[in-house]
Amino acid sequence: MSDPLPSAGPLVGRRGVLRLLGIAALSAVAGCRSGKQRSTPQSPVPAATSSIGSRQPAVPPTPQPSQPARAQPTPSPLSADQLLAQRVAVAERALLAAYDAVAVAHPELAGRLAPFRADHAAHLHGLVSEAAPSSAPSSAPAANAPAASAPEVSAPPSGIAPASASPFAAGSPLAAVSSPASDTLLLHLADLERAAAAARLDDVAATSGSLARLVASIGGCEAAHAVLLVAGT
Amino acid sequence: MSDSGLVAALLAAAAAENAAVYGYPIAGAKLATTRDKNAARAAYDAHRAQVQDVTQWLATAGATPSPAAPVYRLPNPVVDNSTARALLAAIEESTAATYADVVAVATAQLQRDAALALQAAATREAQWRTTSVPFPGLVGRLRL
Repeated sequence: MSDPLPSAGPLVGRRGVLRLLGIAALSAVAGCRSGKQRSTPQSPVPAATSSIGSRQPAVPPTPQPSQPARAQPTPSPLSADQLLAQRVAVAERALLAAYDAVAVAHPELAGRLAPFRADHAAHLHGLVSEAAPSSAPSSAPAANAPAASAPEVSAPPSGIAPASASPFAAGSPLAAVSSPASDTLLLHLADLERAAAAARLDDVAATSGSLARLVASIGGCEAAHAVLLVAGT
Repeated sequence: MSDSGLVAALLAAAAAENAAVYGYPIAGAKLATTRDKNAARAAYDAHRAQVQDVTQWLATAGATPSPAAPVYRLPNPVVDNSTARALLAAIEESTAATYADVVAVATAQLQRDAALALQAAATREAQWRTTSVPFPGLVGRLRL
């Protein structure tokens, strides 16, 4: 089981996995998401220290992180912590989609990957709870409050069940695409997890307190995933 | 982000690392395979190095850690492979928890170093459990 992609390594990213699977449409969506994620990595950072604790009680009109984060003079409707939580949530959703794509291409891996996927679903849930504007962090039941305030990141808790969350029906044309060996895909997922864990190190720098604790813990889980995914291959 | 909060978090991390250095050889002796024993030895070295790192961080913050205790009370007796793995997983979770607390109050490079130390502990924890937990370092502390 030698590394089939010696130079691509962690840079292959999720689009690489999706391309390997031949899922062009999902790949386009993925490009959108990772582009969004990349476009705002540092912008909330300078605002973080001054804005933490001054959460806006008003319901945010739109969950678009990039625009308000860049416009320095206009105060963002979301706090810096909320923006960070959203950004990490976008990354977690991208990982969920990557796991779904692999499970579609290799249904025999779905069972083994389910616990990994469930961890990311839990991360998403935790981030939504943490980013809820007016609820006390990590104390209130998260299911209801965040749904009202952050529609973009509130759906996933219901997506924990792998079967219903899969966007593709069995027997779709995608099944006809020849896909790479399952070991290769596991290595790619491990690369994604490793890159995600590294990104969490940058993310914690933008915040402090309970959100920093949460994001650091998520990064710990992702680092562990990277190792566990290849442990059995 | 008070200095006292940071010092308290670092003192807890130092104590957890000292406990890890105490517990690893006890559990390591009961591990079943050579592979696991080697992993435990490497982890033991990693924790000894962390004791040094955290001591250095404390020195930078103007404090010194309490000396390691001569004996620690184990949560459960270590009698075989599975109880040994359980102790090692618990040790890693407890060190991860203290690093999570450092991340919460530290800034700049120290915050990043603590987050990295949490990742290393979480990875070892998952290896001893042979499965991951969604929130290493927050087990039992996070209400969702």
